Amino acid sequence: MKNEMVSPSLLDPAFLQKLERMKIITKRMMKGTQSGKRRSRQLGSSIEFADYRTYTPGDDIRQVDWNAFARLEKLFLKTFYDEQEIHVTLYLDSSKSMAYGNPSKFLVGKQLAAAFGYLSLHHFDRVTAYAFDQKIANHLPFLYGKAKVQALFRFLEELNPTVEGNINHALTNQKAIHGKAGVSIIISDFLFEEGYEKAISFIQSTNQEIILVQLLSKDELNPEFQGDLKLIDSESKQDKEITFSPYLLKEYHHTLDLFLEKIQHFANQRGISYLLVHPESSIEEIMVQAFKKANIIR
Amino acid sequence: MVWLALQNLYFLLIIPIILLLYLLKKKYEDQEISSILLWRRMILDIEANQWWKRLQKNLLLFLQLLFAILLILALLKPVFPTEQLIANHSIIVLDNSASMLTKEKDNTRFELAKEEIQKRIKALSSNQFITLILAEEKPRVLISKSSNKDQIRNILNSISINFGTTDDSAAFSLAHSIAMTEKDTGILWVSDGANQTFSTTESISKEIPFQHLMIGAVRENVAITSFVTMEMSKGIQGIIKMDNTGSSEKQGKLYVYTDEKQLIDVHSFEIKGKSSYSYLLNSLPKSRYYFGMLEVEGDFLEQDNQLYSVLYQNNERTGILVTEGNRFLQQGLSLMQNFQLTKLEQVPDQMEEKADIWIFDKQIPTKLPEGNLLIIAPTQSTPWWSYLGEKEGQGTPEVMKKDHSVNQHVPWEQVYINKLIKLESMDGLETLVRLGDEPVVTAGIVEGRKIVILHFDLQQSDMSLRPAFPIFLHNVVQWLTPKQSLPIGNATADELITIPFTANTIDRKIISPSGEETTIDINHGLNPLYKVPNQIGLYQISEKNEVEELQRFFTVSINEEESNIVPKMINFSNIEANEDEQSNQIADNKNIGYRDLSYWFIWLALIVLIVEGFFYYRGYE
Repeated sequence: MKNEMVSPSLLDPAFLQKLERMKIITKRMMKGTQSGKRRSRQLGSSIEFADYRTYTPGDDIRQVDWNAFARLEKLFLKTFYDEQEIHVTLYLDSSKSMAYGNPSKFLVGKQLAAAFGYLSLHHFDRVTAYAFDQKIANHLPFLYGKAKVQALFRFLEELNPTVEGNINHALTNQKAIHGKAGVSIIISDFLFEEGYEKAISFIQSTNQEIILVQLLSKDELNPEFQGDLKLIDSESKQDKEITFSPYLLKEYHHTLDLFLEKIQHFANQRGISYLLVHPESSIEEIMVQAFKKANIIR
Repeated sequence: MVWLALQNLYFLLIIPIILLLYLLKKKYEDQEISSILLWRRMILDIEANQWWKRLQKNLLLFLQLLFAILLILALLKPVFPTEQLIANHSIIVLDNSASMLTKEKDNTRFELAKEEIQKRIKALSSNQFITLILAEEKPRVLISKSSNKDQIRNILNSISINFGTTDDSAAFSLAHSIAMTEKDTGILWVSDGANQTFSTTESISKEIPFQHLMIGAVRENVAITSFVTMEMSKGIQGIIKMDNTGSSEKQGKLYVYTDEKQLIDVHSFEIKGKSSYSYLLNSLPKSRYYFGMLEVEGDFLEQDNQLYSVLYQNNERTGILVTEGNRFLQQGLSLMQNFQLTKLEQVPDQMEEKADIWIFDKQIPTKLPEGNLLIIAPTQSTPWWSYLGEKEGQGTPEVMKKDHSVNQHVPWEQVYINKLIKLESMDGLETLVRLGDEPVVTAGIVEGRKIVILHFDLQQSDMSLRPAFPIFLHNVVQWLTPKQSLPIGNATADELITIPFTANTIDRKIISPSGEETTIDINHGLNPLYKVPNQIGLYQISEKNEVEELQRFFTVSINEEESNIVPKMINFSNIEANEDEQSNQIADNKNIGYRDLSYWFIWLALIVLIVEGFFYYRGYE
């Protein structure tokens, strides 16, 4: 039934089934005393035991382990991981540079956003989706429940990369945040003239755990240009005349490595998860292998 | 490095053209990509990097520029000063005397000298000139102020050794005066310096660069410097003189051969350094010439190790005059050179005396003597002719055979003859002069003898008072004595000598040691001048007359001085005082030669072109 709700162009139904078994790992799974505040929304997965601690006046006596009191005559509180709903925010870069690659980075970006959105909604997490270029181009706030998958997919499908992007401008804006703590997944190529650090820092500061997904096409990672070319920037239309040579390509790789190192270093310093994704790989491969390996989903 | 053609610098204009073409050539194809961010960063990185990395970007352009610059540099005619040519105009004086034949390891000095000159020819650039002078007896300018390398080389290759005398003073004077008339002219003297004398007598202008290229090292040499053979009363004797011009004692063997190449003597000898040695040869067998040859270990000049000697012959002719008394005749005959006259008053009975010529004046023997005859006015009959009496002479004598040597230059028309003697005509005699129908002079060969008959009594004529008389006598004696020609002494190559030929010959030839025959025109007189060719050895003179072929020899040997082969550096007397200055001058002058480097630049340019092609095909730019 739910398969029919999903647009087949974005994600394969068989893959959606696999997604249902996946879950975003958040570092926000805090130990808490608020166990039983909500019912478990997942059959078969009960409240996870965390620890014991001694009773202090004012504690909820319902949480006292009476079995332990019977044997030890001391009041112990049984503590559990509080399983709260998390708020997943998807930021998809829809600037023009994303339209490149085969398949395009934007398509793979949309598929990733759909996948993350789908598995989050499936686990009854709240999902907010933003598409940005120089500003927030479009957004779909506070989706909840599997029924909203269709809305999310439609929203994603309707997006088109047409204008120049500026992440720092687009995301450091009140329109780009919703005030709820949670996980923010930013999918972009991060090829922004003015950088990305400011935007990411801003989002992080709004109590978000951030996952950066960088999409770089094969042409960007391993260009095979030859001869004299006038490279034209798809967004800014600026150009650069370059006479290609093995030396120059070597230099490019060097520059690219520095760029990737920098973003990785930035992420590591701030406890941000980072993953470089090759859009040429299949979406299943990306989700199942890359993200799992990176400990982003399980 | 020096640039000889700086005017070609304007070719540098090609550099901006190449740059322009390079800029125009660049046609960039548009290629839209997602973002040029990384590319721009890369270029910023590169540009911030070392300058040569930036250069690498335009490698092909730089290779092209390098190629163009190398070609332009080649056009500027880069040259390296070499220590070869002495001035812009180098007068090279080459010593080709016999001492240059001295062996130095594998080559002779002469070959080494030629090689040195070849090197200088190679170093000759287009605006430099060479004049080549040979220091022979008369300095010979072979090529004057030429920069045509092939021409100079050809001429140099054609030079051979001169066995004659050399006059290096004259060659120096010539070179010096040429150098004085022209600026930037130097003298390069290429010789072994042995026997060179001019440096002590001549002085050199200080403005003229002079360099003596001394060829050869100190070498040993033993030579036969003279070989004389002579017929003496005891037989034929000879003396051979040998000189050792080296400094160490030498041992060797002397071989003497006859004209039939028969070995007649071998003599071992020891000769101290810088001394002479004479060897006397006694009782040599009769031979027209002798050949002496040395065999010495460690002798560096071979050409003076052999010498011919022509037997010195006493060539005096003898004559017997039988007369009762004729002062004019007696006087006329005794005035002749190399003619020994014996006077007899009567015909001797046995006729045993030997003489080249018998002269009978109004007498006649009954038996013909050995030797040739001049018979004047025979008034008796003999068994071999008949006297027919006298006849009055009328008119002037008429010359019948003008070209007969007896008649040459004799003005018979001035002679008056009163009475002629009539004789029966004889076979073999022909009338040379007649008066009317009667012969006045007859001559010919009878029984193998030459006979001249004067058909009148000298006292019956005024001939004795006329110039015709001594001329006639001379002609007669010349014709009658076949051996009257003078011996020829030792000559040197290229010398101009007088060869005394025998009268009445119809064919004269000189045969050189190499067998080359030179025919001497008989119209050139009896003592023509002959230039000895540049060949040493035995020369043969072959003369033919009506009766026989006469052969004589003469030798041509190396100038005795050339046997001294010790090389010597030329130092001028006028600049000995400041020798340092002179040596500096020479050192400076050494730097005037140039070695053309253009080809190297062209080769480098070619290599750059190949490298450029390599990078082009590798798609490197």
